[in-house]
Amino acid sequence: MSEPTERDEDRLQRMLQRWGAEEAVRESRAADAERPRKKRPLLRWLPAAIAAGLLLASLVTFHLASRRGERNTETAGANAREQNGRDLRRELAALREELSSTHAEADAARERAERLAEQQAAHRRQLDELRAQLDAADPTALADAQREVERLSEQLQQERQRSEELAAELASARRRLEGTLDVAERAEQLQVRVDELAARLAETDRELRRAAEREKELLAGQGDLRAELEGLANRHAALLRDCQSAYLGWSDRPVVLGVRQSAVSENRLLQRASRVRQMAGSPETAELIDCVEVVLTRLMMLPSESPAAEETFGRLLKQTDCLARIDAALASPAGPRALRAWLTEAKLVLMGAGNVG
Amino acid sequence: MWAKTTMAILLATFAGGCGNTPYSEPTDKSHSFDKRVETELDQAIAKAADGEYAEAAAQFAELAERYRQSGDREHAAAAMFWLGFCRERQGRLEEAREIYEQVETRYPALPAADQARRRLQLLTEPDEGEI
Repeated sequence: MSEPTERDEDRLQRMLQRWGAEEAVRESRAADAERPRKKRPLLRWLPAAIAAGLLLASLVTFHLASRRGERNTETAGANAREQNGRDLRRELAALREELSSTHAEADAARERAERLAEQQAAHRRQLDELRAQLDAADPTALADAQREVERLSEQLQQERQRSEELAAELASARRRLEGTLDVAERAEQLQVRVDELAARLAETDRELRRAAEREKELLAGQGDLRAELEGLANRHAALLRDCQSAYLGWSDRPVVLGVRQSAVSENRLLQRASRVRQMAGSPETAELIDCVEVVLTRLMMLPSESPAAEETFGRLLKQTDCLARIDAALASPAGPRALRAWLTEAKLVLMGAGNVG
Repeated sequence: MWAKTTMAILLATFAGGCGNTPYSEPTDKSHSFDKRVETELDQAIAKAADGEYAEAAAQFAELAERYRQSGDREHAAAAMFWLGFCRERQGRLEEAREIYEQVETRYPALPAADQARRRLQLLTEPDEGEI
């Protein structure tokens, strides 16, 4: 191939003009490629040698750098491991301390458990000894002690009775001193009468109960007993009515609310309620007194001569079951005299209200 | 003329209902007996008799307010008295005393006031007479 000619140069110039610089370069390279190369071996290998040298140098540099990097990484890893080791040792020491303290606590707990077991055994021994003593105790001595307790309680009862009598005497003397002898005597007479009536009522109640028991035993065949029972019941009812008439001072039938209200006022039933309540020996009795007080208070607030009010009051009485509860309380002979008298008076006031009782 | 009369009646009714006009208490302490109202009261009283004072007190308070608003002074007084009674039984003595005093002051001539006076006296000086 020959050297590029002017014609070629012109052709290049034209192509540049026609296709632009880039196309021209491509064309020119193609033209160069088509041209034969000169034989200049040194210049031909020099770039390759330079490139190889540069490559070798970069490889060596890279190798050295990577060795230095490895060394640095190894140092950092060693430091971290050392730190981890220190931490682990610390944790291990703490765990050992904790373990030793747990051991110590377990030992202490074991000692406490042993001490408790010893104490329990000692208590058990004491209990056995006490049981043995109790078994060995003389039954006659126990009976003597029991008798002594009974004797003392009887004595106490007598003392109480004596003190009550003394209190009654003192009260009577005080009344006389205060110049209210007439009122006091009337109250006393009334009280005596109420006591007598209460005693008679209780006696009749007892008779009634005895008769009822007898009737149960002899069953239905014994008509006489039934008649006797009916007679007793009638006598009881009549006696109650008489008692009521005497107490209320009212013989006409039916008893109007006004008469009941007067009896409550005159006999100070509501004023006496709070003091009677203090004598209640059981919660049931206290509740009964409260109930009676409510009913009596209600009675005092009703119109005195209204059949409708009488009916309403009777309903309330039935609802509260007041009279039956009073009867149940009076059936038992126990309880202070004043309390029994108050309940009896309340019964006499309430009896027959609204055709109840 | 009619309009004026109607207005006067309305005002009088309203004032009476609110309790703003002076009220002349009955002097003979006579009761008016309304069976329905008495039955309502008795239901609460039965609760008090059974010892259910808290429940009974709530009912009495409600009844007192209702009767007061309807102008039924007698039953309002009775319900108030019973409210005081329940408070007394619950051991709330100061409250009971206040309620009794209110009954006594507001309704001096009604039967509830007599009972309120009696209970106040018992609260002040417990009975020391013959049992």
